[in-house]
Amino acid sequence: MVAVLLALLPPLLVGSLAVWSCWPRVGPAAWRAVLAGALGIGLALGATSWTYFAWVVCAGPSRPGFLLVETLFFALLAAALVVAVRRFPAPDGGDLPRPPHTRWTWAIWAAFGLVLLAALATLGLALARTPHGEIDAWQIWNLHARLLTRGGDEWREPFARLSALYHPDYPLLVPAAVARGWTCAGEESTLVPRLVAFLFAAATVGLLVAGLTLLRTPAQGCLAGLVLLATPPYLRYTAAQYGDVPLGLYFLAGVLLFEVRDRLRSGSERLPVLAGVVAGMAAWTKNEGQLFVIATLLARLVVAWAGGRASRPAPRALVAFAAGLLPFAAALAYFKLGVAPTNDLVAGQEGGATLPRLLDGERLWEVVSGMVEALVTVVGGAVLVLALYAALLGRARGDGGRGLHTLTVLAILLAGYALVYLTTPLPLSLHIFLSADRLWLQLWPCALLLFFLNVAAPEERLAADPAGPRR
Amino acid sequence: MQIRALLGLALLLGAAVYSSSSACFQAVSDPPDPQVAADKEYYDRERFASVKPFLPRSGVIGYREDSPPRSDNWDGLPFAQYAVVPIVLSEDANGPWILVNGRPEARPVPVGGERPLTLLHDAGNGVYLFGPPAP
Repeated sequence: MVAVLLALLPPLLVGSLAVWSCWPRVGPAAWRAVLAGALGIGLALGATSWTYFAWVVCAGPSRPGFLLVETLFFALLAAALVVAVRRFPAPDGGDLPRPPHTRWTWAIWAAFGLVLLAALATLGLALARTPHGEIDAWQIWNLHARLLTRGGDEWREPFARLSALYHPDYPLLVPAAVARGWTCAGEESTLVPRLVAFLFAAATVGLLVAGLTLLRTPAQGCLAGLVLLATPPYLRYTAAQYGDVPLGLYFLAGVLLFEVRDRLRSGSERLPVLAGVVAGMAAWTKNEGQLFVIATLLARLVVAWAGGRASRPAPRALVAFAAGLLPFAAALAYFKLGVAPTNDLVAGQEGGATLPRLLDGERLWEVVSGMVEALVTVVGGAVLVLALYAALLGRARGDGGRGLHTLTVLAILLAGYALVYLTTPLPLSLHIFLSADRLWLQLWPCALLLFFLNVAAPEERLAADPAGPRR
Repeated sequence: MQIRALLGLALLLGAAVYSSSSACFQAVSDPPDPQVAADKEYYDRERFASVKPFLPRSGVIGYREDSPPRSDNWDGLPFAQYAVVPIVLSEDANGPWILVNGRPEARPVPVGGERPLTLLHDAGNGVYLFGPPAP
């Protein structure tokens, strides 16, 4: 396991440096470092997945020398980034309005500490008790990882021959990251997929806390992280080693980067490049990630339309986004067109069955009610508490339309999910029952970002509280 | 306004602490059946271990299941598939190779289409590999 962690250091350094060089110089450097580290984990796991897949395609999984070549690749990339950071420092983000600290902040951090400890204990127990994860882990993600490591020169063949039960068309970010870990460890240890699952969840919490701290206030970031950690299904699906938690990280990173760009009115193209990389990683994680790429592009149009002429998306920004997207889009295209069979949901649209499904009112009702039911099951209590909290604290002061990009992305993703359910060739109620809760969890970190961008921060309301404890 | 904010904060923090602590308490006090994880570990590490050297390097082979020893939560073919990958198991394939996952006391003889199949390996635990007779 030490070898796995050591082998993760070079890509982690590259990922963190990439974030550090792109993120505008706004807010305390310590929080920017936390954010760079958190998003750096996601970038590192995504990048190593890409390098491993490239090695499998170009050299074959059995060919020795992967780690040496990969380490050289990341060392060169790190050196280039260090030079770039020195010569071209991150753009100055200017100043964001910051409410004063409240003396109640200690209570929020104390609660965060309690929730973090409880979450670590819950997650640790679950990870220890289910070394192979839950059904999708060994039926899909870790099975595909084994196909990559055990397949030898014929690694493509099983993907073509496995039945739809094993979803051989699913993208390979998680399997390739796990397979790379096994290659580093020299064995198929169940510790590797568990470590990968834990890292994705930890990175999501870190990114949410640091991102909101930099965009809003420390208490706001802390509260968002606290709510995410206190969502038991989120911990359950982390321990289950499913692809939804990694996807949620890339969704969150993708919307956060554009929120920063919109709020700081930054003209730098570094953030769109990074957003493109993150969107590419989302597409390389799950099929829903491909919808996220489309949703991101459409959301840019909506933001531009809402902001008038001044917010028109610069062609350079779109080119930068596409440039970041390219490596993962290429890997995905190679896999989808050259290795994987047709997706079962797409294959099931033959014979003119799609239109009748779309126009079936009963199906629409079943989809809407099923998704609402799943929402209530997964985060119903949290939504109720957050609604009461928002009613008590009120809306944040300052500019309107905050989080429009995130809101649009979430709306498009939800509409897309509903459309997939409407047209599914699988038994509808079973399809919803088996997946709707996980779809909500993919969106949950983004929803928390949106909520805490818009609701008033405790610092805003409590700053002048005479009842607060004195220092 | 400050009272309302304090109320809101108390509500959110209280609910979060309650939710996470009750999830933690439940994880400690109501653990999942350890037999399920033990079964999976056994199936992954041991049950098919002796038959793997006799399997082809890749391709699709037949799979038959005949009440193998297991817990109630046994996941059947998918977990066997996980254990023997990159071989692809198919209940519809009739040969030339067939993996039988059954009870040690039974020795089923699968029908291999038009050609008779011979027992290539008996793992001793209810796992049998049938294949084409040597030429």
